[in-house]
Amino acid sequence: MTHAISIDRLAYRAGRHFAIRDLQMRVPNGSVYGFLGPNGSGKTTTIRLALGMLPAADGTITVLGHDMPRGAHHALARIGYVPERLHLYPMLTVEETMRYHASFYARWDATEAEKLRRAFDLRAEQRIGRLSKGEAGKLMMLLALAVRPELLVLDEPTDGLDPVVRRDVLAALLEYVSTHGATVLISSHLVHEQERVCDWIGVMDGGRLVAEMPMHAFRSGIKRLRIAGAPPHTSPTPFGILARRASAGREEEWVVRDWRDDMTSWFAGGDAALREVVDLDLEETFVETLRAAREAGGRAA
Amino acid sequence: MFAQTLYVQWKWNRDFLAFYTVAGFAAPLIILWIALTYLGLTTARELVLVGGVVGVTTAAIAVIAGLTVAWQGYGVDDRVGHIYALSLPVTRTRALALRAATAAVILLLPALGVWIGSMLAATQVTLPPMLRSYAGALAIRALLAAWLAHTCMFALRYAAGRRAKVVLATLVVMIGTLGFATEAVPAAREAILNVGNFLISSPGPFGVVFGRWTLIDV
Repeated sequence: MTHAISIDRLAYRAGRHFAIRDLQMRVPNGSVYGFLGPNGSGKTTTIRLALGMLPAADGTITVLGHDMPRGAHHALARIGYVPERLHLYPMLTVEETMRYHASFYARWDATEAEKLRRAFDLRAEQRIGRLSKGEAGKLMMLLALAVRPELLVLDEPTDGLDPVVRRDVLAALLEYVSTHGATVLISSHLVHEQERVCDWIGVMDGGRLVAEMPMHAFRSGIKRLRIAGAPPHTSPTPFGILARRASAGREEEWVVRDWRDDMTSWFAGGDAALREVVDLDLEETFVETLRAAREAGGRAA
Repeated sequence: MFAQTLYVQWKWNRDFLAFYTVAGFAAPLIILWIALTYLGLTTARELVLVGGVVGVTTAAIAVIAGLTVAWQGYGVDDRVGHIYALSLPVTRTRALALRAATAAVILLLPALGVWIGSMLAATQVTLPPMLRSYAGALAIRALLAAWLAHTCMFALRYAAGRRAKVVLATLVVMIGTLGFATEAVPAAREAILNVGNFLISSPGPFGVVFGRWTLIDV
């Protein structure tokens, strides 16, 4: 088993306007996989399908070697899950919630849970319904980590948290991952956060996975080129052109993928002159990837 | 797992359970006290009638307690989109069995209230030789009726989800239509009544709820 999560030909429909079609996704074992995508792109739905919470219309899902949703109860025993919103019972206290949660997990580490509770400054007797957003986020992370999971599935775990709490939560996550070597699937639209912690990236848009690759490939492969005298129609290029936009004067900006430094020679024999190669940060890469996918989708339609 | 689920169910329902337990305890005492002190009912026939009023009141308390516990148990999960329940590592069958079993345990409390209240109420009255009080039987029947009501509502809510109100309304309309049909279509009358009798008479599925409920009888 080389993939903690393996999804093939996944199909799902919710209402008239949203569908996941023919989704293929691989989360390598031991990776920290950033699941990027704008709001409503299908990240949460894909996660819920992967965890067996929603029934797929078609396709196969394997999580930690278990076919989902049939083997969901076996897989979930080895997964720490943090949903996008507080999902715990509001009338229970923090301590009662920990006890209730622990009773379902043979791997529950009570010592670690208590250590995290103190580190997160959560009062045992505080009711869930009265927790602040930050406290709720910390408690959900505590519950996910204290089951000593082999796979952590975190759906927008730091969304809406203040910077201090976000740092605490991410620090606890990174410490666990570095100690236990767990696989992490972390969904977020906070691109810079993903950049810090992830080594794999999947980009979701409109129910489709439009990119999936190692972080270094994602970051280094896409560049913005500033070109003077570009012809209206280019001959075949050794790199992929994701977008062309008019810039100042007769210059154009090209967003290209699969770029290597030795490709500058392609411009030497033609009319177009390469003025500048600009590295994109992850957010720009993400935006350009989405834009290219949407343009390609529009052309296909 | 069972103990924790039981505790959580108790915490969700403890206010309702306290109310129904007190109601189950107090109803026989109050009804008999009013009957004896204010209405002066003492003859055997009158006491049987009073016992019947206690029985019907107990039935209502038991059924409503069962329905409330089921409605509340589902509602707590529904408010958080069932995400927590679905993310726990148990099969859905086992999760539902846990919920049903723990609800059955907490529904012992209203039945216990009925039993103690009925026993105390029975001591208030001097029964003629041919009459007896049935406090234990009334409490057991209250427990069974509460379980049945809980099971029906629990199954309906988990099967129909947010459409449960629609399904309930449809059932009410169906029963009303059948009632009307027994009068309007004489040919169907006997068949409908036979089905109805099967459902509500012992040992039919709802026999424990319908039929005669009483604290005092021959």
